Amino acid sequence: MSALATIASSAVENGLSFLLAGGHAVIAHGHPRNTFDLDLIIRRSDRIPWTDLTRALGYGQHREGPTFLQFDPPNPRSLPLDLMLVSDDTYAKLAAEAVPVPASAAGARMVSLRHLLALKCHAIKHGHPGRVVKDADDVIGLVQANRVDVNAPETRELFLKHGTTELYEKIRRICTPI
Amino acid sequence: MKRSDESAPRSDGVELELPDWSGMDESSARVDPDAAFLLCEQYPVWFDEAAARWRIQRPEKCLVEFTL
Repeated sequence: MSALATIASSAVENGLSFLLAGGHAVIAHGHPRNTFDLDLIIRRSDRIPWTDLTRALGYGQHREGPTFLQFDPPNPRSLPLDLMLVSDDTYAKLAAEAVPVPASAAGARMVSLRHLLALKCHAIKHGHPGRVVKDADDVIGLVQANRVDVNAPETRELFLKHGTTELYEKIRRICTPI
Repeated sequence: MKRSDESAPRSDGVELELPDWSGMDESSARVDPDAAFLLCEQYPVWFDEAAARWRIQRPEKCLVEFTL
């Protein structure tokens, strides 16, 4: 069983919910690439039960911050786990638009394309500078794979709300069909 | 000293005669998400040293909370 399937079934057993994000969601939304970790979004209020669950599954805490928890895998040949913490309100909005994941992780749900783009824009704007190239490549790949209309007002609004004007203009130039 | 207005010197390196691959389909359209998920789980098994290096260098996550 995959790490994601194991976590998904354990979360269900323990009455905990999560949404798949990060590289796996990028893959499932049509831009296949490699990823060396598993990114899940959880409610901040579920932080303690999730910490207990990961410990029970053999994960060890790697790093902790106000907005995230990072865990090392039970063995070096499996994927590390990152939990991203959001408010109950934001989680409810993400969950309302969430979509099923591929069959190999049955039972799990992942963030919608629109919310995945918002998360990527947020990471580019506020995240580690070393991640910008990878996140920008994800945005371009997702926009192209899903034929997102970069000139549509709602796309512009999303990029400006969660990213920057510069990012939006660059993506628009790159992704506008000639 | 390098001068920015000059062309790079011609390389005497190996000259490769490569075929035209421009007609190939984009790989992202040909990889099933389930297969891609499986491959991601296999990378740390196949490339354990690279995966260990990546784990150590894993960047800290974004410190600003995402809100909708």
